[in-house]
Amino acid sequence: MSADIRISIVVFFLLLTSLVVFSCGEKAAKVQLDQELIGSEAICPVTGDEFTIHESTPVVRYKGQEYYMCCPGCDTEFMKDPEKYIMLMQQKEQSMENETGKDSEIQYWTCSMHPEVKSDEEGNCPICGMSLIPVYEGSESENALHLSAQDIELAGIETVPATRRHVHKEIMAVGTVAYDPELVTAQEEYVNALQMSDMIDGDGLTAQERATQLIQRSEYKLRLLGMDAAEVRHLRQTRKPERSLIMPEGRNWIYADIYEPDMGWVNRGQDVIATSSAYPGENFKGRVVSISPILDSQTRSVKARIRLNNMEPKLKPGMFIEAKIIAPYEVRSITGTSMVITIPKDAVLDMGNRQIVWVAIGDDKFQPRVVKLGPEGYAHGDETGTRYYPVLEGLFENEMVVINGNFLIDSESNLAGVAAIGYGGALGVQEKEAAPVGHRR
Amino acid sequence: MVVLWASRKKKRRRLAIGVNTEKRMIEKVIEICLRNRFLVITGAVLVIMLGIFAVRNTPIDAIPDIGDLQVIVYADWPGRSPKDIEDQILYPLTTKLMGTPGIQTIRSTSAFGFGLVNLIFKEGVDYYWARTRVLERLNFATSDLPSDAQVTLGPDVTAVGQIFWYTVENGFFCQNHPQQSYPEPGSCPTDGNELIPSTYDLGQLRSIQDWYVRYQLNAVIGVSEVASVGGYVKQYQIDIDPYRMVHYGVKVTDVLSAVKRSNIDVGAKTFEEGSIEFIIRGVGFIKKIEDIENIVVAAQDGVPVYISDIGSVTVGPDFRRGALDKAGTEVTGAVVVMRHGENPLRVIQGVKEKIEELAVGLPSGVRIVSFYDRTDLINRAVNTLRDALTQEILITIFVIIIFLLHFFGGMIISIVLPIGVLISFILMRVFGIDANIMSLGGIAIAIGVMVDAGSVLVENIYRKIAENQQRGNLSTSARLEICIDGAKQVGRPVFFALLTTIIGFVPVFVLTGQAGRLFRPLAYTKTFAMVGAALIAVCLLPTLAYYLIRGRLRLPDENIVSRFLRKTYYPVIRWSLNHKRIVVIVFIAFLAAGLSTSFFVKQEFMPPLNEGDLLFMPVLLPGASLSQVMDIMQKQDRIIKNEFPDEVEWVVGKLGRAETSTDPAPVTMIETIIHLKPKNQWRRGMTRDKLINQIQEKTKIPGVSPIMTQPIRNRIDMLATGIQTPVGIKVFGPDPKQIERIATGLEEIVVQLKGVSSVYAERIGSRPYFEIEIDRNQIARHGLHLGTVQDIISMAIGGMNITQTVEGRERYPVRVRYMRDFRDSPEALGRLFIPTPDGGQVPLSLLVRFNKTLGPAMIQSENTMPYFRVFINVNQEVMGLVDFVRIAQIVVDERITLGELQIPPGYYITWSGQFESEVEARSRLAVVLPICLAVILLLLYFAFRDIPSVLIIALGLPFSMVGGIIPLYLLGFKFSTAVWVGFIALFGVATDNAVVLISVFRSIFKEKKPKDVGEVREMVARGGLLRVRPIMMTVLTTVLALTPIMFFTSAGSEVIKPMASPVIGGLISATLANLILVPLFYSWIKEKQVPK
Repeated sequence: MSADIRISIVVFFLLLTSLVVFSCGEKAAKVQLDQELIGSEAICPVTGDEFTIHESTPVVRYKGQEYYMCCPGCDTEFMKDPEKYIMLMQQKEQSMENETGKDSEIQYWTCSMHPEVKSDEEGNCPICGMSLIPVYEGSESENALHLSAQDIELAGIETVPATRRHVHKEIMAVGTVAYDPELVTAQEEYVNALQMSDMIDGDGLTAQERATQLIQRSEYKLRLLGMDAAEVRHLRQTRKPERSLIMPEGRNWIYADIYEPDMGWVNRGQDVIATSSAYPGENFKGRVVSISPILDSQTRSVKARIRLNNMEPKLKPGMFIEAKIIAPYEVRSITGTSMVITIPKDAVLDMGNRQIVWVAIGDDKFQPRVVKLGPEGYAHGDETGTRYYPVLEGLFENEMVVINGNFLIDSESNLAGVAAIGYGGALGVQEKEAAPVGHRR
Repeated sequence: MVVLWASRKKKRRRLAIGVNTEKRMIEKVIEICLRNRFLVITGAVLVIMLGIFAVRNTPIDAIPDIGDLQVIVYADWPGRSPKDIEDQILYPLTTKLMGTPGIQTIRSTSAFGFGLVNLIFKEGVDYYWARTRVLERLNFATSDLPSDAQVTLGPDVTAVGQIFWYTVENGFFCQNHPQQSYPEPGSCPTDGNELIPSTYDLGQLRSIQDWYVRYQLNAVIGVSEVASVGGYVKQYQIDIDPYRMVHYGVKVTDVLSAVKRSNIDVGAKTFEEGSIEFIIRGVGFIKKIEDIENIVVAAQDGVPVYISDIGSVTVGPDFRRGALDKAGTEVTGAVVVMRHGENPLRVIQGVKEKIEELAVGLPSGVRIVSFYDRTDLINRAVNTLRDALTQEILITIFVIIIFLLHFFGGMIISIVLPIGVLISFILMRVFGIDANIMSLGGIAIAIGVMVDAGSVLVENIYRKIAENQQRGNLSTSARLEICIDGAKQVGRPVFFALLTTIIGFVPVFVLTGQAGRLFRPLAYTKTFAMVGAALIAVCLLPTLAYYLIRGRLRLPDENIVSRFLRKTYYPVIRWSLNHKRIVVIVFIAFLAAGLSTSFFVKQEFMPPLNEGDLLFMPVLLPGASLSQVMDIMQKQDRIIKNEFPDEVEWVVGKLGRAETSTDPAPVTMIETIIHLKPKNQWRRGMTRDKLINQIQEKTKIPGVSPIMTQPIRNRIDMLATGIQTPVGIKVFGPDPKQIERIATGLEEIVVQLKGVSSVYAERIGSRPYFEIEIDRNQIARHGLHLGTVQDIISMAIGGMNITQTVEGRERYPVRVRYMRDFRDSPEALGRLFIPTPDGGQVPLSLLVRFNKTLGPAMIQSENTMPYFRVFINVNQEVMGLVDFVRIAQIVVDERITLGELQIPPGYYITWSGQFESEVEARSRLAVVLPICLAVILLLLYFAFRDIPSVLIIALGLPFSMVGGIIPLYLLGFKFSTAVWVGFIALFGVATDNAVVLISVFRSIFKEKKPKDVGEVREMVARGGLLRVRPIMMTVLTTVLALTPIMFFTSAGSEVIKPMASPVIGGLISATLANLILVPLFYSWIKEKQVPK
């Protein structure tokens, strides 16, 4: 009961403010809070939480309506993409209405066992004699589907909460164990140049200049060969060329081909797990050290240089390696963490033009949601190999999503009972079974 | 009828000359037969023997095949989408098959991985002739199709050909006696050791089925094909790793050609050594995994690259499109499909014998268990009919003996029945009509009428002999002359009675479509039985009468039965003649009452035959995966098995299709055969309908449409690609999406109409597709051909069976495919490497766009134009089909004109469905039935040359009709074609008795002119008395003979009963009307003529 009062208050004031500021422009803008509203309830469009409006509640006006944010920060977030958050908020409002839909108008009465029975009055089912249950206005338009306990059991429906997880992608890349005399030579040249420059320290200007030029040139060459600025800086400090690039001593290096579609994902410092057919079952851990700035036009790939952590350099230069690069899914959020709301891949029914997730909203009711998903990946700490999708829109944290039996729920909602007529079953069906169960008359 | 002609012997000269020659012919035949008695009896014995041979060899099935005459062309293109199949195979194929001679319609269905073309031929075309024509066309029609698609002519089977299903499953065996397999654990009967279970996996069981069982059963005479289903086909799987291939610089095509080139045995003629000839062979077939692993794909810097370097080789299951499940456990099995026109009983017998033989060679513990066997149903149906026939024959004989009260006389007449039945079997064999409940039902409804001719003939001879005997003893030659004379007198009437009965049945012959296929056999057999009976009556009976009617004979009119009848009839008829108004009013009231009940009788197309087994057919929406469907099937099977232990013997579910073109089921369709226990083991109060409801209730799963049907019925429906609901709309057009939009639009319009009970527009346009659209600009940049990329897509993602291993008798496919991880998600697919001409490898995602979209799950087309169907079930109690269609058409047309339903150019809709055949049947009957009645009345007119007499005779028709409707109403039958056939049979005999009466009245009034009204009445009553015995005899033979059928409950009776009930009811009421109303009206006319 309290929920709809809250909603009606919100709606009322939204209307009121829209009247007052109806001429407002398209852009979202911060406005002053109407003091009278303090103490009333509102829903934050960004977090989806209910809260009480207080003095410092940020207010944003968008398309003539005012939206109230639970905390500072939300307003900036909201202003980035108001449409998206408004949609989210409306969904939330709807689901809240759903929980307390008792006051809405009764559309008709039906039997829970025989949904084709529709009656204008309360009474008993003509088929089985059970008392009819009311169907409320709106509940059908929201597409909430009610299933019996038997349905849920037989369809094997399972749900999991949509929790926040760290998600990463695993990028497969092929590579070879490095044998790169060119780079080592370049490094040595660079170190030499540095040393030369050290030796001529304090001497004539031209020599100094020449030394600096030499350093710059060889530094440039290093960059071209795929060392980034940080690495060059590191080399300048240590002045130790990486001889293990030619002759593995203490560690192995790998050159892995990163193809264009993956380039956006691979960054310096990411963890790598490498395997070799020479040592089946053995994982070599490592890290992406640098990525070459130049794309090989023939293979359409760039080279990532990976340093393995193995102390005993088993791998021989030239050997083939398969490298799995762990690329975390970075997401900017208000809270600052890179945890995102995720759902298992099985929860998503991808029909191409839209992705649907079925959400259990309690009381054996299920509701479809159109969601916007990020790239598929794996969760940290999840060893089962389950793939997850980060949910960008359409779902709140800890909502229960259906991961098993969702196809059946979806089919049931699409049409029930008569799909098989197409296969010639019509003759064998008795009349009442042939009635279009899910169809609206 | 018969008696009429007998009594009108002298009038014959007035008839046309053409008829006269026939008369002479019949009389000649009678005379020849009687003079060559030995030949006749030998001939009869011969006919009996032939008949017994025919009975034994006539193919017996439960119900006639009512499916269209169709030839199926099957196109197999593994892994391709319905769109590809339609565009690249079925469309070109059907365009070229159009114009095949004798074709009525060509329908085609493109599904995932295969396509079917159903060529529906006109009725009356010979099946094998049609197949040859199709084959002729296929020769050039297949020339343009993709080379890896296989287009074949389907097997020569019909919809009802799936006669036997079995599973090959694990069982138990004793270690010491491994030859014997047992279904249950226990101890060995020989040495008491505990039985151990066999543990073959589904792949091994499938191999046993495919290579040991299948071809052996296929060799059984009459078996067209044995189609395996379920389990896993063993396959050598080469899973290649694209990354390693990049390393070694190997292309997919290299792998394919390397594997192909590494699997061959060759021959190289011979050489001689020491006068011995050696055959040279190059041996190189792949036999084990290592053989494949060691295939060299390429050489890199002189070092060979083996398959094992770039991937792994395993033995695994081939891609499946079907599975079998027995009470929740997966099994493997097959269906035996019978050739067109074979005898199912014999074929199943042969199959079972072969299975017995094969059992010895099965691995220990493995068993072949049948789970659907048509024999049982056929036997039950045939037993029903056999019982019906026997009881009918016995009752008829009994009635005849009672009326004749002469044992041998009765026996002579009765002999018509068995020999008549045998003759109809001979004729059935000649005309190629199978024995089934319909054709045997034809004989069953003929039995009562069959004896009429014989009894008239024998009675006439009997009377003549009796009369002559009274005058003194008979010499042999005099007896012969009497017999010839007696037979001749009635020979013509017998012929004409036959003629009217056959003319009466002409409307059934002209029925077309399903009704025609269903009832024409019945019409044939009824006619055969009548012809047979007439033949015997004319040829054999006089001879038998000559020998057997001896001893002291009493005139039949003087025996107890006739005296009793007269005693009852006389007061009744006198009273009626004196109170004509009351009687007429009573009869009119009866007529009105009867007609009004007809409004309460519902309509149906065909009373359903109870097949015994149930077929539970849950269907999921397109797009459901095999594992999802499998899960549902197993759950449901387990529930059915466990929740109904008293009713269900076994339950076997099949999802997807068996490998036969007679099974077009998609993966999303489950067909579960539920075999029920005998009814006496069921729980108390359980009925078949209740059981069906409870099973559906217990197995209800969201998103699954549960349909309960029966196996044969379902096969007929599955192969009938038209519309199976009473009314349907077909929406034609080129684009499935548009068609679906129009179809759902129609659904919305039609659902609002009065009388609709349900509407469903096909939604087969929404199966998820993952489309890889190649960017032509991008591939051009890399110098790639589109075909190269497509090849890699089809080979690497889809996998391809590139060769077959040859291991003894067994053949297993070898397929190459990317490792699972590299192809099971859109992202992985993006990383497929495409080798470029300049030696590089480019990932696929650079060259293509991926689209997840919705596409058709199945494309159906008719005469090359795709269509979707809108199924409409009409509540026929609210509105008749024909009216409904008329109104619906107007409404839909209106919406289209108003633009509410947009139909773009190139699209159109047609109305179709069962109503078409109903309309056609009705319009045909509307023309033919009156014509037939008119012809009968015309014949009567020629006989009497008196219109009032003919009109009085015709009075019997409305009364017989009303008399037929009342039992329908009382017994709760519906108006169906079966009922109409019963009525038609009724009309053929309903007027006979009136004819008998009128003719006797006429002869009486001819002899004597009545002086006053009283005398007229007396004369009419006397005439009635003369004929009441023969009338009651013919009526009672027919009515009593059919009565036991009404108490039958076994298989097949549900079709025969509605047919018999109008005959029984109608004949009783017609006889009452004839015995009372005919004399009444005749006397009325005569009374008017009396001078006052």
